[in-house]
Amino acid sequence: MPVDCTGNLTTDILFDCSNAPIGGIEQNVILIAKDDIDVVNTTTDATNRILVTNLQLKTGKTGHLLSGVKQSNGKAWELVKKENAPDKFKHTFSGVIFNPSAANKQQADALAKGAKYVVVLEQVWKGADSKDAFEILGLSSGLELMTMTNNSKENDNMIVFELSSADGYEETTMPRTLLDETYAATKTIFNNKFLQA
Amino acid sequence: MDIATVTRSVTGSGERYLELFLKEYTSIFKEKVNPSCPKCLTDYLNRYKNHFKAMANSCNYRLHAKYENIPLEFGSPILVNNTNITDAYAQKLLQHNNGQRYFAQMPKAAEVPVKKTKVIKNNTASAGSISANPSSQ
Repeated sequence: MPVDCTGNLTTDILFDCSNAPIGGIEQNVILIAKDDIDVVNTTTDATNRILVTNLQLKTGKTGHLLSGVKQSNGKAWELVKKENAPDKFKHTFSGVIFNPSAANKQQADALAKGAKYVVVLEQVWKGADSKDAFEILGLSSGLELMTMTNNSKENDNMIVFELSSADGYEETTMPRTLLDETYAATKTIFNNKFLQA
Repeated sequence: MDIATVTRSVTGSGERYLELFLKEYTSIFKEKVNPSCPKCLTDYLNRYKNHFKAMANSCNYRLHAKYENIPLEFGSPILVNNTNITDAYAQKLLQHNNGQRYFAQMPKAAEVPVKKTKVIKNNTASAGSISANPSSQ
């Protein structure tokens, strides 16, 4: 079936009062180097391009856990208006590294090497049957490290950083939803950090 | 052997158990390790133990790594992995929607004997005859 590029609405946008909005994301997120994603076997729903049905990494690759506390990590996205082209979306992930240890600083240093990253996170709001719990940021263009700061007088000496779409290289859609058939299966994959043995 | 023994003990020749364990671990899993991270060390030991338990498991079904510890069914406290998987568990997982995707290895299905169909050649086929070629229907 050809993809509808007209941008016309195809159905109603409704409020499901039994799944009222809730802010925030769950503590832990998964960071994946964009190069490690197997784009051939990563699949999107045939009728909804926002819905990813399988996020697969290349053989031997895994995502990496960034453990958080409460709402230490966060996500945001916004429309980027284009004058003579389809509009784009800027995805932003803000994270915190609690322990400025040598091991953690080594990983933080790696983030600053210029590679692009994809972030998978679980929202506190999960939708009906928890089918809308997981979101993927930066799947098309990847996110780059934009800021990384540490100040011994602020934020308890934690390392605070932000991954974001680079200007001019934004995403074609808002963050995609990830659902591997069921919430339980998707959560299992998330807990296993998308490990592809 | 528990993690405390691994991290604190030394062999008779003075080698640390931890060093020997990490050498063995890296030779099997081919990944970098972080000896200064206690939580990681516990994970390494669990993975190492599970690896050998999984090798002892004779079940013909193997899960993909990313689906290990998947709940047996909705709300089930049983988390299925390559250590505890049995044919019965595998059959239940296969009943999930598209359940085959969980498996990296499945036993070959018992071959169903295929009935040979007799094809009658009709060299004098008329315009009204039925074609034996399904693609032409």
